[in-house]
Amino acid sequence: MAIASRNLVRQFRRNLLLGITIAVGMAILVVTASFTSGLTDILFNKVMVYMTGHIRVVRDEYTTRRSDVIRDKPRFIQAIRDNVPGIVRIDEDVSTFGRSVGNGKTGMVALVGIQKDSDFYNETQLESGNPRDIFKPDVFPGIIMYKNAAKDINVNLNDTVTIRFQSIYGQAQAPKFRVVGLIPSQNMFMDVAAFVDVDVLRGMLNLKPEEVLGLNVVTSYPADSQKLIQVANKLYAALTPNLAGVKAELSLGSARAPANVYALKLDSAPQTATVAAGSLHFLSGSLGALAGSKDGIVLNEAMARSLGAVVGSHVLYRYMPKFSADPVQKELVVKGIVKAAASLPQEAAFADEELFYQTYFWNIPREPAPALADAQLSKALLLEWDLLERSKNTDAQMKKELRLGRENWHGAKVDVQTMYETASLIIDFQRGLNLVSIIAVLVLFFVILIGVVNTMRMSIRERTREIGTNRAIGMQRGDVRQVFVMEVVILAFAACAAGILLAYGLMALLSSITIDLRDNPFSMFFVNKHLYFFPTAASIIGNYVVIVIAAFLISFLTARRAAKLQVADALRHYE
Amino acid sequence: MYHLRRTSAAKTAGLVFVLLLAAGGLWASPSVQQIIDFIDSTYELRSDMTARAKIITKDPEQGTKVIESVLYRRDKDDAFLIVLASPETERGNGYLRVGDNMWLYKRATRTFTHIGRDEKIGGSNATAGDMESRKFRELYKPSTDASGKELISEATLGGAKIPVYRFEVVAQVNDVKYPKLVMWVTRDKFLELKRESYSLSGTLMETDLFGDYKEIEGRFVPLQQWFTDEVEKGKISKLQITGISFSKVDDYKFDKSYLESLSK
Repeated sequence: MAIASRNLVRQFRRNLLLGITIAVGMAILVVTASFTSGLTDILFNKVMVYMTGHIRVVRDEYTTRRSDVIRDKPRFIQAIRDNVPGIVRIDEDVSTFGRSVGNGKTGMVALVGIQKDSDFYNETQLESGNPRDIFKPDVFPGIIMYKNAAKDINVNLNDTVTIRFQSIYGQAQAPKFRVVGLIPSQNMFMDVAAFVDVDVLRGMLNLKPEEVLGLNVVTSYPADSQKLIQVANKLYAALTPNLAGVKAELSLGSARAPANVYALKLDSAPQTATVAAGSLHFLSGSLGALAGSKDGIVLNEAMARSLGAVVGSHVLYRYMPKFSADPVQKELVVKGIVKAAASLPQEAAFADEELFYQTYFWNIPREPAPALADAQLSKALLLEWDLLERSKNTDAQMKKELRLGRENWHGAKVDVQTMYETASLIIDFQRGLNLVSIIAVLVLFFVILIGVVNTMRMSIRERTREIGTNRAIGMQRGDVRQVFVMEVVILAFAACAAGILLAYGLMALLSSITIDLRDNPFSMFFVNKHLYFFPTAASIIGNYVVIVIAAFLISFLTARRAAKLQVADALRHYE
Repeated sequence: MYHLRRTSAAKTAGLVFVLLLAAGGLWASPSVQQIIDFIDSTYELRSDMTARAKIITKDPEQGTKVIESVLYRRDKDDAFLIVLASPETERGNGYLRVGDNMWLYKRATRTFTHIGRDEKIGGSNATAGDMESRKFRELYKPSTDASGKELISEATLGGAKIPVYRFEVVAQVNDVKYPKLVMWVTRDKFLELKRESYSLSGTLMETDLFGDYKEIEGRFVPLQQWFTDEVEKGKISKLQITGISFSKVDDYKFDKSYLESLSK
């Protein structure tokens, strides 16, 4: 070690240049790795988390209009908790797109509902105003906007802004809000968002407390795509739907009868009539009379007898919804009476799916009807929802969305997505950057190693006689090799350390530069208009170890040649 | 959007009203429910229809936009087809409704997309839902005050002081765009002259005016309609209807292939 250290000083200039090369290479590696880590951090923990979470569950409902709404939030949250490990939190999506109307100008806005205990307050720095003011009782509810978005519509702190949007049923809304806070603008994507009290927005969207537009799950392992997808698949399997059925009461005059009401898919599945005809044998009326009816019902003969109903009778259909104290009631017309059967419970009654689109799907029953023993007939009945197939990537996800847009369907469809499917383009971009970073690393390694090899070969050549002299006085081959290797390893150690310090200085300098990419998509990769670096101990130590080991190996192989020199040949060597 | 009256039915119904009121010895205002029922019974189209429509939309930020279209309606199943004729960017696009299905056809991509009621027609304020003929009485019921009395009063409208009834209705279903309406109808024929549409939270969203009523083949049609956006001030749309005919429309026009053929 002492000899190696002294030799380093002896050939100071050459070693200094090599050391600088290694230090600069190390600095570039650390800066590049920190930049890509920063991008990953932004993507996974800032952009994706707020856009879709790491796993997202949505329920696409189409009754009289299409909207995303999960009607039974507690049930879905329980399914998530039972099947998804490592949950950091479950975000409830209560948001909508709309138009902001300021002073003479309008703009696009994405209204996002914020809960009182949200991380939003810790993670968001306001330029002015108090974020908690969105919960302060006032003439108009509070809204927090991005500064540029507010400026675009000529509003400032304490001004009022009108936001027009539609409820989940398509009802027009144009409430006024008071601007209680302004956030420094980040980039063109995030500027569109504006934040309000989630309970206020829920009411405006006509969502009940147990309803939500979607559930975004934030996990502790976003970068582990395999695990995330596996977990999503498990959750998908757990969301297998049951039959859509209601434990209801039918009444005719003073007569009452309990009924398990199911919906026949007579409109959406043409083969239903054939399937149902195998199990439902009509004594009067027909399936044809029921098809397309929004107020028709077919009764079991025993139930019809107990109610005193015949075809054409008007019965009152009544059930309690799960999340309301007001019963759902509708007058129905008996369209048919079927023969009793062993496989057909006395309480079973059948409506056309049209009835359920405006009752069941908007008001989940407190008591769902049980599954039917008749498996064949069950195939003809409406399910709580259809599970959409899992998509492999964004392309497949988009095709699925387009297909849903083109098809004629009603009811509900549930989709389980991970960010690897909903935003695979962004993730592919991030992976591409990582690949570029790896290639840069390899190129740098190559350059560094070339430098090490070249310097060592020059040094060995110049010190050949010295090697001969040392060997002549008793130094062994291994010792000769060790001297040269130690020189390089010590140099690499010191240079890498210097490189890390240089890297931190560079990162501090680069991140202090303000880069205004307001209307540029790449602005999403900046934080507060500054480059974002996220150095990790793992990558720094990893690069450190790799460079030192590589230097060791190269120097070992090169020094072997020096060690193998014959003493006499070495002593006779002249430059 | 299109308000039509069958003269003979309107006259008969109006006469019945007058006779009933005279027989009762009272010259009281009709109830809101009576007016709603009357609108439904006389508004309901009982034949096919063809019309040309021109919508001029003025937007302070986007300037003036003119959309021209042809509308076909088939009575037997309430199907409709709207084919956009201008501007050039929208020409050939169409909206087709048959049964419960509504589609948007894009000429550029030659694709049909299923749409909902709130899809805007060619970027105007008109929506696909406006084309539906759901019965007014299924959608709305009379507003009442605290004592249960319907909110209806006699008033006059405009500089000409046209005698009208002013009344309020509220939605009785969730899926209507405007949960509350205030309407002004003429006292003689119950022709709607003005409508104020309110949001779920009670904000005035739009004021509509209906004028230039003409009797065409036994029906009263407002040939000009104005829609004023009360939220985005300065935004106004004007609808002009021409070339109305109630003759039978060929069935082939309500098929997707017809829309596609127009693109060739």
